[in-house]
Amino acid sequence: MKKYSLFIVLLGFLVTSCDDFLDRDPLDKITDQQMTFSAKEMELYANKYYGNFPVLGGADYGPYEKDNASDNLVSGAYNYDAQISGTITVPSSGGGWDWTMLRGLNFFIDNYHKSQDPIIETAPYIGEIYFWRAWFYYDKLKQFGDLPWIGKALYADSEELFDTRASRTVIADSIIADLDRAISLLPEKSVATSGRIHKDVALLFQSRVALYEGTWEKYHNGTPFGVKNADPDRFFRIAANAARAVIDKGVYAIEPVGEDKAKGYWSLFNQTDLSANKEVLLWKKYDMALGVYNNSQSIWGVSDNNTGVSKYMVEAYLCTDGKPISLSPLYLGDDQVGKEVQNRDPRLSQTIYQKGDPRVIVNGQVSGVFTVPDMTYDSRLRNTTGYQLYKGCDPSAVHEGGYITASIIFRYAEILCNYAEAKAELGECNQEDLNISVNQLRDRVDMPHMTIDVGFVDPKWDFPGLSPLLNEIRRERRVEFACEGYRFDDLMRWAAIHLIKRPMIGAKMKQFADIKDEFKPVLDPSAIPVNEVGYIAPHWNSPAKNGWQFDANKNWLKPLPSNELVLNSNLDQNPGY
Amino acid sequence: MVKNYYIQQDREICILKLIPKITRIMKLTCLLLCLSIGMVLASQSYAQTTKFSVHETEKTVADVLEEIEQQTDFHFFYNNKIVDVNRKVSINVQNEDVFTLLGSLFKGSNVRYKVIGTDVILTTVDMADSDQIGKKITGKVTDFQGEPVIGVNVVEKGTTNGTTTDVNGSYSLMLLGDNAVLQFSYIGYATKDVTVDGKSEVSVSLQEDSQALEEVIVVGYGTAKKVNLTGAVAQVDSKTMENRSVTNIGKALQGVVGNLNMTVSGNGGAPGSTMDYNVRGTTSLSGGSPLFIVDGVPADNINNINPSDVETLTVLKDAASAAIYGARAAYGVILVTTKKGAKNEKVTVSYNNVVGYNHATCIPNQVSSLDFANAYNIASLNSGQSPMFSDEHIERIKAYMADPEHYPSNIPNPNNTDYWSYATLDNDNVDWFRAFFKPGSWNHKHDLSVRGGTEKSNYYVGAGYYKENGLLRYGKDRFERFNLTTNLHYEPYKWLRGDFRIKFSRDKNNTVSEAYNGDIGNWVHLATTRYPNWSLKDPNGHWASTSHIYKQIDGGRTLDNTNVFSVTGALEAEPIKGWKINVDYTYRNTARRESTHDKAVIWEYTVSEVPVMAPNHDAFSTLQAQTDYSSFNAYTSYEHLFGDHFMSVMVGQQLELSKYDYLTAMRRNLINQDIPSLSTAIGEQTNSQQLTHWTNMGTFIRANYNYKEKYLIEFNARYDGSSKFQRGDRFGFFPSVSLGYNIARENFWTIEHIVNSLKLRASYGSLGNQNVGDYLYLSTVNVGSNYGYLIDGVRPNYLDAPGLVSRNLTWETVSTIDVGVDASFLSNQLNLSFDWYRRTTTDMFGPANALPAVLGASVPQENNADLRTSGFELNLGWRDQIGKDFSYNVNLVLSDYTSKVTTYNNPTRILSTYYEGQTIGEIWGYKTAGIIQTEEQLKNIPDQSYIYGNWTIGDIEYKDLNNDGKIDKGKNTKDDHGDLDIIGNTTPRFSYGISLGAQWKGFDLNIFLQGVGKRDFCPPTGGNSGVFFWGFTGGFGSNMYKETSDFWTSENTGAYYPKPYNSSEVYKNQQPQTRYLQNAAYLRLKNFQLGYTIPQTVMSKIGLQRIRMFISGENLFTITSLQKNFDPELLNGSWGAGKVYPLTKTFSFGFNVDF
Repeated sequence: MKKYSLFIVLLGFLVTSCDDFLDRDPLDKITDQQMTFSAKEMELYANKYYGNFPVLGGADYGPYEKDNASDNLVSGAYNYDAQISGTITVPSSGGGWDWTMLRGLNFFIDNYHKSQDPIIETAPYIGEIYFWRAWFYYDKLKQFGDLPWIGKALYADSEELFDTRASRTVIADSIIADLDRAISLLPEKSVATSGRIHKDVALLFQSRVALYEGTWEKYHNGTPFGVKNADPDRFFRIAANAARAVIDKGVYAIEPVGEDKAKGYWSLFNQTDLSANKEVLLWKKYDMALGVYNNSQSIWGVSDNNTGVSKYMVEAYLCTDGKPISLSPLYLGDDQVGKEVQNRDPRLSQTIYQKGDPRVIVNGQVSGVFTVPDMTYDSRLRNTTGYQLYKGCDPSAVHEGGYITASIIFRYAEILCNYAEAKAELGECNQEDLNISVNQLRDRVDMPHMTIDVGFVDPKWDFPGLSPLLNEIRRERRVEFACEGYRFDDLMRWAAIHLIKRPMIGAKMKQFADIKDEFKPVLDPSAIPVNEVGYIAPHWNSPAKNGWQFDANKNWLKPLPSNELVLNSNLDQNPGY
Repeated sequence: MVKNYYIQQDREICILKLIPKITRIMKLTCLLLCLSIGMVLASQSYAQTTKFSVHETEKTVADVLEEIEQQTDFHFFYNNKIVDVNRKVSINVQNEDVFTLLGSLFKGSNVRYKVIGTDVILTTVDMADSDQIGKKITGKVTDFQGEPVIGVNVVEKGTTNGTTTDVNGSYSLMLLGDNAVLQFSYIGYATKDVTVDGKSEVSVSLQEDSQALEEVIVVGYGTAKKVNLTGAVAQVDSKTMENRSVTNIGKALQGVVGNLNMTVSGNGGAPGSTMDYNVRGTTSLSGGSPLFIVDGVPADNINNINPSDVETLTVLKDAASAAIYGARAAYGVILVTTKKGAKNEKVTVSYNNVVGYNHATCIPNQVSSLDFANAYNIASLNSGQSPMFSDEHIERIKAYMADPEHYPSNIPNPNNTDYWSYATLDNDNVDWFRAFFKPGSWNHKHDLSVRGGTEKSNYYVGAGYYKENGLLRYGKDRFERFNLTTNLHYEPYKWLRGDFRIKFSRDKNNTVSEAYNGDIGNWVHLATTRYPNWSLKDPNGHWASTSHIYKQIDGGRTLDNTNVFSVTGALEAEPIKGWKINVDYTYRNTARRESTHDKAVIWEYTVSEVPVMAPNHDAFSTLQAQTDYSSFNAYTSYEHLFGDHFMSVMVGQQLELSKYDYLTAMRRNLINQDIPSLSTAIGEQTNSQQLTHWTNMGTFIRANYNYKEKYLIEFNARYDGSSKFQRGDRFGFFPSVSLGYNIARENFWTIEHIVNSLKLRASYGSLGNQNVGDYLYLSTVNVGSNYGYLIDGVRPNYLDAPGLVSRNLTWETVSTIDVGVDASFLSNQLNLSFDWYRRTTTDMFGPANALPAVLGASVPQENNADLRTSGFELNLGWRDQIGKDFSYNVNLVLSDYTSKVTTYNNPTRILSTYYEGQTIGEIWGYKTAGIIQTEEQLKNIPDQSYIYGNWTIGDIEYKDLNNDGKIDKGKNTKDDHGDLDIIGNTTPRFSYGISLGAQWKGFDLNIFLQGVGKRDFCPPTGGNSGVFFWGFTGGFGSNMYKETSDFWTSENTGAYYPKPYNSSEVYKNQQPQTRYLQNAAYLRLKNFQLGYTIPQTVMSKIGLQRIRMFISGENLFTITSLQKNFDPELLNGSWGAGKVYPLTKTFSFGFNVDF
């Protein structure tokens, strides 16, 4: 019978069970409960947000290309940007209404007090997180205007999910408050870890946000896009103060880059290392060996990118006498290739290609020069206007599978432009203010100083209803930041409907038709759309022939996705949609 | 029996030690291993290896034999009328085997002996001559076709005296009794009894066992007679998988079993690609696949099993059948049993091979460069853009097409004249699919097996090799598999049986370096993104950069090897008849090793023929992943027949533990491209690891009762616990019950000659589904490395933000009700089986409550949704024989399912996610009014500005379904969906398989057709995904094919397609809509096989048992009305609709030899 005891034992075994066998905790992850918010954890947590900066990336112009959604660049596709071209439709979901980033930031803000580490070690990262929350909300503010303010990480049962939208003023104030916290927590540039956000970045950003909101509230006042009891001056004051705080530090300066002073402005944008540059507050470094690179130069070197600098952009540059082309005797007209840039603000010839400019430099030897714009190329690689972007191009960049041209994220020039504009909006701008701000930019390219009385009356001012000074400060901003991705925001906050609705045009066609054999392949003038007065009109065959169908009753803001309005009946749609 | 007693003591001690701690399971394995190895040795030949000593004087023969029986396992069989056992003998042997002993025992007598396993049969030499005391009988056993049947058991009824037939079907046997009755039995044939009645020759013809209901079906933890089954179970045998030129079992199973739905996996037809398995349609919104059990042990997949090693494959479809597997079996179970030897089976060595040639089933045809350029220019103009191809460019294209031998395919880049133009100025004329893929490639398969058995042991050893070459023209992609399966069975005692199984498989994938996938996508995708005018070769004859061909030729390799080794020891004890105790333990190690050589290749040659290297490609990376899996089962069962009442009960427990360890490492800058390894690289290096583990614990019970096999009832239940849920939520109890009624066994059944059998079945049960990721109840924070942004000069590490979780996540409960009928008619010539089922998934892991996006996270999964799937399976079979030589059979399998969401937390019923009442697969779209042909019509179209601002002639006019004058989606909810309507459904309906078989003399023919009766396919809107359907999709990825060329122009107003555009404006005409909805139903000739078996008369002369030769084909033709750029089985693809490695049609031939 002994063998039966085995079976009995086995049967006993069958009914045993225990929870211990089933407890299997993660082996290679920590959980949210296990986070201690040590300084090290905070640093790691903050790192992942750096990818949100607009930088050079794929085989395109990166941030430069954003000006296609403005009157600075003209894309071959008239509907390049759905908002400005008026082709935007109400999406059912998405459409920019993504809040994932915010929850990650709020989770940090809800919990960082758990940290046992001294504040001196954790402050920089807490400051960064507040900076990023401001960054997130500013991006949403520009797109949608009024927003729900979500100040903590939400859960599936949070009531805040069904919040109404707060007025954009409230949102702007909250952003500025977050930036105040960031400014107080972030270290000075001199002691900050290289490549990390520092105090002056937050100050610059605060001036940007405040100027945006101030001008928006001022120029949209009285429309469905404005706010009740608008007090734009409050924001201008914040903008001016933040900018002035950086200026007064005296650690930044506007200087030409490189040996060749005539290319000192252009050179700023094709450096690989900007760590010693006194103008750049924050930039992104690339390193082939580490596999961090961009592909921007693959376009600049050999072709254009189905875009081109607009006639309006080119005309904005003053002549070297400090006068606009409508007044200056130095202006040589636009009938002949190359004449148009002569005697002009040197930044023009450093922004668009001129015949003879190097396209490819190998081992110091120029192996390809620019002759004519790439107007005869395939549409993806074509120049659309006869003015080809040169700013940002690095002919000597070495193609090692990518490029390491540095991406500028924040530069001091913006502080200066923001300061001058805010002061001018406040009506407080004096010559000293101009001298410490925009005239610093003019000095770099040896242009005459701007004066408080401007000194001329340009019949073609973009904003004839505004003061000469504001017109010139806006012109300076446009010229200095040509094709750097600022223009769309500027057009929106200035409510510049008349600039948006103009038909987009390029250079005078005749000048190229005369030299059509110089093109390779040969230019077929009949293949280039031209308007009734002979200017290249890339949108001529499109519904934007007479200007974008931008609707001033709705297109200043984007529509909220329709699903969201259903999911949260407290949300309302933006005007006009 | 004394020594055996000690062995048992040892085992008891070991198992006692096990109890306190389960992790000591390993010890048991060791023990089982040792025991099993012992059995193997023993089974070689008990008679030869057993030595003993006998010292006796003046004892009777009977006493000596008894002494031997006591010492050993030998049993002696004799007729004491003929063998004189009362003779006194003296014997003295020391450590000799049985032959020596018997030799001396019967020396000088007329007694002869025969040893069969442990049985010794004693006869006398003159017995054959004696009329009184037994005689020799001979004969031949044939099947109904007259072919000899090998291995038939021929037994003198009531004795253990027996033999088996030889290769000629012949047998000879010494009869022991006077009025002997011979019993002839063989698997697959009806057992036949023949009275000898004084004859000296008895030849019989065996009938195939048409009584399919007597068939034994493999079920969970055991087998059952088909007649007693009460659940929905389908079984296929090895014939389904034999001689198919397919990579794995899955491809042979498509369409064979009702509602075992096989779909092509993401790899399409790439070498070694697999199929996805599904049982009975939509499972859960979070997915769910069947559980695979191989020889009683859960397996991750069954793709690595050699189809030739499979004996049976059983699908447990309803909850009642699968309930015994509980937590992991909610969506069906697929049981695979591999081949085994049989008791007293003659040794058979088999060799099979197949050699096949593969072609792609479907290769799109790109238009010529000239047609492309013209089309592209039209699209550009339509989009308000300038034409891309200038007149000069078109002239060059024409010139090249007129004289491709001499006219250059490209021009230097005007801005950088040492380089050829980048892509778009080219004037080549290339069909990129044919540039990347070759017309065909070879595959071959070889299988060798040995099987046999004795009374106490049997074995099967199978080895297989399969090699499939891919279709890449230069890439030499290939797949190889090696298999080894060993099944050993041993029965040391009457009450103890042991099994020892070793399985090994090695899958080897050798393909073009995956480091280039980022550049290429896949080669189909790459072909769609190349314009026909882009150069394949530059004018100097070097491969152009746009072609990426250097990457196929010389871009390094990705080698992906997976070894699966598993070892199982199983013991079955039967201490008293009917009471069985089983334990088994399996250890399985799955080791995957992948290495990728990211080799620097030439990207292009300059105009002056200087090579330029492809940038950024110089690295070696490796991946090593180990899964260690252990499964321990212990269960006991008792069955007994009390008169007409049969009862059985089983109870048991299973433990599973799985650990996964995944390591990757990469290092850049190899110092020598010929020696790719981490050690020979000197650049930046990265590494990472993933560690996971999970456990399962289940206690199960089954009880059966039947009365005369007429009224049947079965009860199953399982209590399961899973580590995937937290304490308190991790255990679930899942019961089921099933009933059967064999009406045809009732006395009142008088139409047996027409309806031979009729059984009604019904079952109901619920199961758990734990088929979810690990740690879903924990909000984990991933530690990332190598962030793509330099901070302080390094790529930093980072922490991801935690997501939202539902902390009390627990089982989904899956309940199935199943009603079925099995019947056979007309002497079992016609068989029918039908099942209707409804499967309800409750507490389903809903992918989301619909919540506002300000939540900022994916809504966590919760147990908050219900889904109902219902469908049916019908199986109809017919077989017949006409005349002596010709027989045929027809089998039809038809199945269907539909699913509805019955509960979902989406109160607004918004259409962007699931909603209550939704039929899974439904396609929402517009109704198309037509293409706008006139200005008049354009003026009168509804306001379509919701979709796009501008509409012109040649665009689509949509129907204003709600007559509000405008086309829109309303609120995009079920209750307000504007002009949207449900226009179709993507669920494959009425899947069917038709097999036709015929035999005539030595010839056999099998045809297998498979298809889907009803299915809709909605071409994706624009983008990279829509290119195969639309051609121009508004940007990168557009192309033009013969199939997409019929687009609207003012000259071609009757076109199928609307006006093409070259910008995202194209989307306005490509909305989901009725006009372009595709009928994706199809019929495909899956397999065709014609074989010839060489007649036995010839075979016996060359000394082989059997030779069969055959030709066969896979996927030979397809009937479908789908647009011809698509294969109906490849509608999706991670790079876009239809962008999948092509499926292949295969022509093959081969032979089978049995030695």
